[in-house]
Amino acid sequence: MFPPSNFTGSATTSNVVISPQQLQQAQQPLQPQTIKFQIPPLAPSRGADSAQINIVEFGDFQCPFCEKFFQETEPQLMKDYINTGKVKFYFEGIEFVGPDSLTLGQGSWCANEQGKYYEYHDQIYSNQGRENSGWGTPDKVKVLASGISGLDTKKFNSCLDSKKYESQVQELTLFAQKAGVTGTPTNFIGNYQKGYIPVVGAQPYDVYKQIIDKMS
Amino acid sequence: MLVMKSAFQRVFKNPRYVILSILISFFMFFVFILANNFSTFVTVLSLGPSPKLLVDVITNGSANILYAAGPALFASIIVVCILSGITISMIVCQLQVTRSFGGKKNLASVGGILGGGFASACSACSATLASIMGAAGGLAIFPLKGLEFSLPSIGILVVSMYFISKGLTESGKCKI
Repeated sequence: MFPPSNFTGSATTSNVVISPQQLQQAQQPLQPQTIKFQIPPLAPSRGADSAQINIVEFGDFQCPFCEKFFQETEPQLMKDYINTGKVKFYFEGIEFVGPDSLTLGQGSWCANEQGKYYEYHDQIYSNQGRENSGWGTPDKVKVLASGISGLDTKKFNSCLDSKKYESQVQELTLFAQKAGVTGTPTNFIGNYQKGYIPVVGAQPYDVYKQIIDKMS
Repeated sequence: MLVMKSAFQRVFKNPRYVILSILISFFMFFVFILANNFSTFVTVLSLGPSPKLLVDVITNGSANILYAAGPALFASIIVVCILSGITISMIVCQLQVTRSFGGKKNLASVGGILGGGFASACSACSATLASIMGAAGGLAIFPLKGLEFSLPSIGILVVSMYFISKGLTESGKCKI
């Protein structure tokens, strides 16, 4: 895991990792479309470091389909692939649905300061409200975060108020757009060598399973 | 209303038009799901032939409309599909009888059908057909979550059916 400040400090459009050389789109008949990119060195991962396949989810904490993916597909992926060491899972929170998504995204990095990135991810998706209905304002996010076991809420609240991760979420959103993300959740399955196959939306588990098995 | 009732009785007395309507209704629903989940279909097809997986994606796409936009939008999309099936069958019937498409009034039904496509939510936030038209948030930015498209579509299709019915009543009955 990289300290977020490494990214924030040098985050400009030109060095957000992706470039025309890195983003090679190869489309052949009867071949899945693959995209090559380096995972932004920010988000911690779930799963074994030795895993050969990555799932990189670009999601919005306000998006109901991301919540559906979290509730229905992620647990199966955890059981069959992530907990068995075959796949490493990254969640990258981006701002897609509305302004509160930016606040919710910043919250994940504030939680990450205390090693609670995925605890926050799980807590927010487990308590998601309707899009742009006001459940993701800073005050509401603080209340939600207070339910995370072991989180220093004073530290978290002061981090959220400082908005120090605002540009980081914006840069990740830009990165996602450059990688071709047009909707959330978009899961990229693969690795840098083989490229990533994008899966847009909350699709059935078997779609992910088939791609992972093909890439393995 | 009488004009429409009379035309309906003439057209759908022939079971072939009933079957045609049903087939077109299902086909339209499939097209709406396909159009809004296009990239997933491409990925699934490129992985190899798997009819089960395709059926799963279609079923999941249908369930996602219900999940994200609620029963009102889902029901309105079903109505658009059924009306599309009936309208297209009536246009086919009209073509058989008059040997002409029926002009600009019938063309309005295409607008009604397209509205159904725009109303169909896809399985992701912001990736609907509506977002192609510049609505960056997809259907999420519309207060009625897509009913803004599907309700006018229903209206357009009903008006189209009226004009087709009128044309059919004036020209005689359908033959296949």
